[in-house]
Amino acid sequence: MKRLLRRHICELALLAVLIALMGFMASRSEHFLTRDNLFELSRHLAEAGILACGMTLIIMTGGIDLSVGSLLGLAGIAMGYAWRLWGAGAAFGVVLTVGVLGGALNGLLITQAKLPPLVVTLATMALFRGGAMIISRAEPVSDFPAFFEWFGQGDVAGVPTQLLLWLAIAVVAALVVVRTPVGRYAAAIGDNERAARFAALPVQRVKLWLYTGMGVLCALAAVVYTSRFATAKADAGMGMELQVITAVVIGGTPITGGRGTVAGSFLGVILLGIVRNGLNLAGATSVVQEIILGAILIVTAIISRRVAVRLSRA
Amino acid sequence: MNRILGMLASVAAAICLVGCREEATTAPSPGGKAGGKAVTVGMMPKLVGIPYFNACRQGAEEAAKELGVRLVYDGPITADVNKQAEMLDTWIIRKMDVLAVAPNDPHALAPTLKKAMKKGLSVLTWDADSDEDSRNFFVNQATYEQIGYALVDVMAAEIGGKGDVAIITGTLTAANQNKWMEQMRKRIADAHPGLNIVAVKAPGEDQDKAYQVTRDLLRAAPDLKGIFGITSVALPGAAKAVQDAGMSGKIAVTGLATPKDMRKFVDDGTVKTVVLWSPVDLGYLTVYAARRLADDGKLPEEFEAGRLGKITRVGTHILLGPPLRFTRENIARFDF
Repeated sequence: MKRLLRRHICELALLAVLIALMGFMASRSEHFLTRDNLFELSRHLAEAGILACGMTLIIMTGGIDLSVGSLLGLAGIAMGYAWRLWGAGAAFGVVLTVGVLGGALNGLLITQAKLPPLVVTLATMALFRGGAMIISRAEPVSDFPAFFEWFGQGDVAGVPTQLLLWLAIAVVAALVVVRTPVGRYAAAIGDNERAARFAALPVQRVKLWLYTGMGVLCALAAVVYTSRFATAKADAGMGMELQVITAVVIGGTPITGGRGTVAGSFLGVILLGIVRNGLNLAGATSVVQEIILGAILIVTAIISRRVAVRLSRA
Repeated sequence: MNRILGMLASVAAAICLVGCREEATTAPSPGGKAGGKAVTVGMMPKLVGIPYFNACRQGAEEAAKELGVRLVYDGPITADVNKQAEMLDTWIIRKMDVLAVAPNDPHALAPTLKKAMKKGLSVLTWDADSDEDSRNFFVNQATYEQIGYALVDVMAAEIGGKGDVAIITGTLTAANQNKWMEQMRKRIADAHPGLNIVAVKAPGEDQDKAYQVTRDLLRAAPDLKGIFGITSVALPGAAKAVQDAGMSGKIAVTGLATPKDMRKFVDDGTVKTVVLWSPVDLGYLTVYAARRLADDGKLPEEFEAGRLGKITRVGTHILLGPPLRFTRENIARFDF
């Protein structure tokens, strides 16, 4: 038991900070700890949460994917237009295809052309967003049938649909990290890529799979996002990559890779959301919120780092 | 290390405590009760921190004080519909009486606004509209037609009715900006066919980007005769670019922006006429309409709005009045 605790001390420390923050937010507003509020909040976080699952694995390999927000936008708008032209079935097919192709593009450029992930995804971030703008000529698509709203606005037995989707994906991602070879290889690649290659690990294949998988997650997030707003728009997901990466790093996955924690990323997304939500309910203005968010991020990062240092010394 | 940590933690805590109190900009007074309790109006601009919306806030606070209404005025720091939805969700939970929102996207915010209406809150849109069935009323500054026509007429008069013109707008999803452009095109087709729109740029609600985009435009389209800046950050950005390029007076620049921002450009001739309405009055009217809506549950075809007098409602649109034109003669009189 003690070993389990020590191994997950990072996540537990984050959980403690999260609980403390929740307590504080609850004291500032009676509406905070209500089921209504927390469920509504989860709707806002689900897209970033889903993306964070994939981002964790990518960052574990020492890589990064800045194009997730743009790919979400591209997939979403493609889905919108496909729906309008060919109907629901085609739309879902198109969104997944766009996600897979976008992710694979990143993966191929990184593994075949041997370009650094930062540079590649910075470029595809612009490429995908531009593509979305061109397809749509900046005109959003809003004529979705009512049943489509189930993904982003509906619920299953009272629990928001996207929350269940997010949890399912998080569980799968956590299992991949902890129990499958892919997870172990990802960590090894991040820790020391040359050594991993000399150890005959399928480095290129793993990376390709991870970036393509990220594309699939972008497609799923695009479905949720579009459904939530009942609108497919080219600027969907703008800036989301920053939120996702921040959450992953706050969660305890080092930006240089080598190890990772999906549970940590999960908590990271919630932490960022809780702060904003709690402050909104308490009446803090937007400007103040930004300052507080920054301060909390610094404090959390420091705590996280100190715990990690203690861990490596132990 | 521990000391730094402790310091940061206490600074964060202190900011939290202070920040969380800074909210209600007007406390309720005896006159503000509707059915026994104070009326709370949640008013949200497209974004906070630009002079245009600061002016709206000024008017809103003035009206809130006169009416004894509790006004919560806040919005995201970037024109992001996602952040607006997040904030509105918390306002819905806090059970405000009326939400008055300037949406960054006419369709994307509709689900959230409909949710509010379902929960019994009244919803007004102002400055920019949302889907018809997602709000009770829309407080419009002037009809889209009046604004579009005024802009085109001003430009046509300045460049002699003929020439290439460009439009710098904000975001391509903003309903009001798009409707204005639609009316501008209509006016050109009907009355000034010699005007030719060669470019429409949307650098976002960002003055620096508007500046850069205009600079590039000046180089790319040397035959340009006129530039429209149809947002309150696009016009000053574009005007500065024209000024810096040394083309003041050679290219006609006009559009929509606050007189205070445009004063220096009007004084040196870069811009001859600025079209706008009073954002202060817009904010003022919005709060008056909100209060009336909260009290009665509906709005009559004509109602009193404090110092603005009688205001008419046309369908679900509440109109402030025809647009104002600011020129060198009158611009000094306005402090917004």
